[in-house]
Amino acid sequence: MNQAEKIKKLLCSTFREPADGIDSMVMDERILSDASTSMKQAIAASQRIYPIAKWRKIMRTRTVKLTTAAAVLLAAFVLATWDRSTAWSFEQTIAAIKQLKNLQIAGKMNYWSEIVDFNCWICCPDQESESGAMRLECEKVTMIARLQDETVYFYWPRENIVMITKQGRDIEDLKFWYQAARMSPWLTGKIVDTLRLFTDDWKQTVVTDPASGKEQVHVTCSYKPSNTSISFIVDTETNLIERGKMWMNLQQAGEPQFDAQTVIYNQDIPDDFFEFQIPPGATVITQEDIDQCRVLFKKAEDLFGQKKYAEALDVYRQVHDKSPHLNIAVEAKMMVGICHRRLGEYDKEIETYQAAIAQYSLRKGLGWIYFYLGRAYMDKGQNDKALEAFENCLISNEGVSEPDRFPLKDAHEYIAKIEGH
Amino acid sequence: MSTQLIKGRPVLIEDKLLIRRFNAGDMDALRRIYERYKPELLSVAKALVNDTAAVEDVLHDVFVRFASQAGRFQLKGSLKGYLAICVANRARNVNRMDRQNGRETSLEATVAPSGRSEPSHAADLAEQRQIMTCALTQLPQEQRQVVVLHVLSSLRFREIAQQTGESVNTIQSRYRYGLAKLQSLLNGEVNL
Repeated sequence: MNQAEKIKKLLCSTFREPADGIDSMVMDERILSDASTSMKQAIAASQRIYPIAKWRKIMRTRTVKLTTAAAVLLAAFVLATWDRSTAWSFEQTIAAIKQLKNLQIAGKMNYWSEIVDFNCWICCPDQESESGAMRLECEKVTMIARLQDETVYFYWPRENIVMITKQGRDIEDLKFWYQAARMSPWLTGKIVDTLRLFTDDWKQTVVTDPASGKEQVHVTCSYKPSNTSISFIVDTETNLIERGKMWMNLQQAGEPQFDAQTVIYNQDIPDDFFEFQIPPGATVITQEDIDQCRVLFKKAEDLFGQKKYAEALDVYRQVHDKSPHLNIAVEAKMMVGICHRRLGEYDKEIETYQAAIAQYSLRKGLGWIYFYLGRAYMDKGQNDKALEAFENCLISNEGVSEPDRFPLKDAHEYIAKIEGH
Repeated sequence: MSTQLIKGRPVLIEDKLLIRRFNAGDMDALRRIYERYKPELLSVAKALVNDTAAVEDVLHDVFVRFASQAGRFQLKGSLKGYLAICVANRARNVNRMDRQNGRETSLEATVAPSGRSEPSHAADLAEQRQIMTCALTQLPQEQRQVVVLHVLSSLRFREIAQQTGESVNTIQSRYRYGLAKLQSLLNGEVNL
């Protein structure tokens, strides 16, 4: 044993001994008691500032970015006119907003790393009833969220799959925006303060549109905790937003995550537009299926934690087979591969990752699977295949905001290691 | 490294589940987090705080502060890494306050034989601890922190770098220099 190792051992033997002179039970009781009190106060406080916390949460969720973006556009519309030093008057804005019944946003959005055209219709909240709805359509998916029955429908036409969720995160977020909108009048209550509190680098400039000669206001701002930046254009004649963009970075770099190229206000929308009919022959995934998968997944995680890899593998496989279309199934499939590895079944490990990649094609959630596949190939000495897998890992994670996180940095390191040979 | 990555994953998942429950106000989650990480955090605090009497206070302050973030806590990296860095930062502040208040470190105060140990073992341990603490106090704070976090809390250099905002190379250098200095300080004091 060299001297450095001896010092490390000495440090461990000295400081990892049971706490000298410390009564562990008394200490535990004191710390946990005070920490519990502190936690209760924090939870109570967070409930008092529910809208702010919720805003933070919404700004971080990916699946509801469209709802958020739409709401941000509307809220930003108010914000853009909030400053009384501009030519607008706040009262004018309120009057304009009160007339708002619905809006349609069309443009491009990032759907699992792919830029797709979309259309989104939002029915503005009724002051009295609990009605309200949103419909999003793109070539990959149709989503209808309805407040009346607190249900969200997803339909993937290519796979002919319907997923029906109740009281999930999507509906909670939509409800929040509608509740906020009910604060009198539309989006002029706490949301304005909240936005002003949480957006950074607010800049607005008045410019003349070279094409139309009309005066416009360009606004940019960012929100650092969610690594988001926003820009939008307001027509000063109508006081309405004409276009808006949202990026998942602070520099407005690259393709925007959400690009609202057209915004149309107060169209005639038929009553049944926000109703959903299950297409013939479609596979239907219900909330019950989703809940069962989550329970099974938790069971598999527990078994894995207890190092019961064969049993964990079986349960992970059940999760995947039960609802292969859910996001959790991708992770379950990856864990099947890792269980094979722990059981020394290296060929099966590779086969599992390959099957997962073939099944789910290239999408963001596959970055980890490519990474583990690369590792498995490296272990077998197949460096060419490993290199390809690590590069695919990087490709499937393009545009992520934290490139230093696992597995990106690790993939870079392995690539350097292979290329250095 | 590869094994560590895979090994670390279930822990990360469990941490995330615990944090989710913690943020929802689940007291049991707080207790589980405390029980899971207390031993390592305590050893880090013991090695970084000059005054033994303050060790418990450091752990107390870190957990109370951590609990005050319930409902809005965001985990970046591992929970163990986050808490260990909090302990290290709090220990540094406590040592700094002690110096500002003119309280010199009393090495005798760091030695409090445990009632659970055999007398001779306790005496040996007390002496060993006195020597080690004395040596650690002579290291620059940054080097001491990295050595302790890496050895006692098993944090990887990359994680320490991520949590402290330093580069990995800087952290590695601090570790090398710290360990070398410890070697020279302990040479002759203990059987290396």
